[in-house]
Amino acid sequence: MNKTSIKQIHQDLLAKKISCEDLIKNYLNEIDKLDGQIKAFLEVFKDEALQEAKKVDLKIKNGEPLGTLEGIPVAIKDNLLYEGHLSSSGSKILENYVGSYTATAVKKLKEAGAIIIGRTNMDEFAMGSSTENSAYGVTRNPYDLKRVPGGSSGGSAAAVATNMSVLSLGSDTGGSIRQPAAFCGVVGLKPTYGAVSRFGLMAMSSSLDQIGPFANNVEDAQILFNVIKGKDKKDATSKDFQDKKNKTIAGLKIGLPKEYFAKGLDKKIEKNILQTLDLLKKAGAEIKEVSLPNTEHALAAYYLIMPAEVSSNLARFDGIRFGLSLDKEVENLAEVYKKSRAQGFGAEAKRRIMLGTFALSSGYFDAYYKKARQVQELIRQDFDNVFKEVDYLITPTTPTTAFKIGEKSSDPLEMYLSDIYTVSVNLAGLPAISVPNGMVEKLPVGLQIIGQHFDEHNLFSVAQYIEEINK
Amino acid sequence: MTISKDLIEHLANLARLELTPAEKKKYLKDLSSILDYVEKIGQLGVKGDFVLFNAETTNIWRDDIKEGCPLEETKGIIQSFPDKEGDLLKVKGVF
Repeated sequence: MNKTSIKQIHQDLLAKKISCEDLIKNYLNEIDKLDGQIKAFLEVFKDEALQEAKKVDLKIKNGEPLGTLEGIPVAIKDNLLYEGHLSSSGSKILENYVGSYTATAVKKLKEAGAIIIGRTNMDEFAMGSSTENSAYGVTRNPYDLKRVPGGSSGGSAAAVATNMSVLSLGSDTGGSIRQPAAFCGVVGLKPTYGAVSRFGLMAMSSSLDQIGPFANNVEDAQILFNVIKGKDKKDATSKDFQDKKNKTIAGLKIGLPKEYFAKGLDKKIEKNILQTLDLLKKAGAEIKEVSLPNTEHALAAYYLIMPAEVSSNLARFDGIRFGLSLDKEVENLAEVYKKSRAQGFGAEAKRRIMLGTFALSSGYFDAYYKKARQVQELIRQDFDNVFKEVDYLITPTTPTTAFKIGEKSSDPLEMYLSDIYTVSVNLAGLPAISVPNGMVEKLPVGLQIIGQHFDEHNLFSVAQYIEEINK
Repeated sequence: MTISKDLIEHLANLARLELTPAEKKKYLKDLSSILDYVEKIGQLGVKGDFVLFNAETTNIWRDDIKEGCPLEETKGIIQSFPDKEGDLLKVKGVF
């Protein structure tokens, strides 16, 4: 089945070339055919999706106006609540957890007419860069089944890359949308902190988490983003914002942070990115080397701030109100907590809870957490400074292409280093998009464009231009 | 930084995690290597005060009005209780 676009699907639906029911059947068939190998979905909402499709067909028949995403299949990451449906966040502790309300982002999709086709696999509580940390098995990279799809939103990226869904939602705390988008050859946006409501997203690191879109082309990603963005009174960090003034490629100032083109970057990826920059230069953009001097400390700061918040956010999983509870075989309350958590959480979740508890504990707080927050401020200032000189930054999304399953799972630090080009963006609350930029040794490469706060609008334009060059 | 077995046990207790002896050994090793990596930020000379919030942040207020919870949502929440008596959540004794 060929990859298509939202606009094309709407044209075909309105021209009655295909019914919505048949459209959804086609995608369900693709899932049947491919997902046994890829394992992107934890659950497919088959009957429900078909029911919804019939409603869309009725709307079309009656000539009713269609919503922005009417009839379009969208897969959602397993950490987004959807009333009446299981949401496990890839964790054993929530194996049978049914959401009692719907996340705002998902609600907005439904209001725009989207058909939620299923929930996708992820690293447990979004902790990981490979989707190997899921309690429900490993998702595979569509380009090479021996490799990881990236993570933590690996299922959402793979579902779109294989055309089992037109769109999907993921969440990005340190690169969890952009890195899998790069590894699977799709478009993935991490919006500005505050651009999308996180109400109903299971919190991992609240000061960094954002929900964002995956799509097979930039235009679709932008349509999806425009549906989910905006103020929600249930997330105090969310806000409404206006699109900034249009910019054109000619005269655009693009910064190349030299720290991102240093040791550790695969030479072939470097060449791939620089070739695209040359084309931008020919189109009239000004390319300038810039410096983000505190980049080398970003990952260290991230791996203190994030686990600190993880240890607090995951305290709610205590075996008392919901989720796995071992309250039958134990004597007292403390035992319920300890045993439920011991059995419910996987290795990476426990590791980060331990690390975060350490960073926040008495005697270590000043030397670790406080220092990390200061470094975060320095990183913000670095970006503020370069954005006085340039409009955008372009970097590789990842230092390597997709790695092999099992290659990094024994060494947590090695795994953390795969987020080296993405974490700074979260620490500074900026928007960034990963767009496919050709292949290296038969594996997709992602090019990351970093923009200024709430300038997604122009970020999409640059991304679309790069998409055109690569056609 | 060197981490002792005692510290691992202290952290596990603070985090309310029961760890097996094998897990204790593993996290001792993992945390030591991760902390060796993150410790390099300690060498960074940061001047000035600890900035907790960036300048753009403002307080967001709302009226202190009880909104309640829709009946369906309440039902969903009660259904998720691991143990209950009627509509009440049932828990073990503290001691």
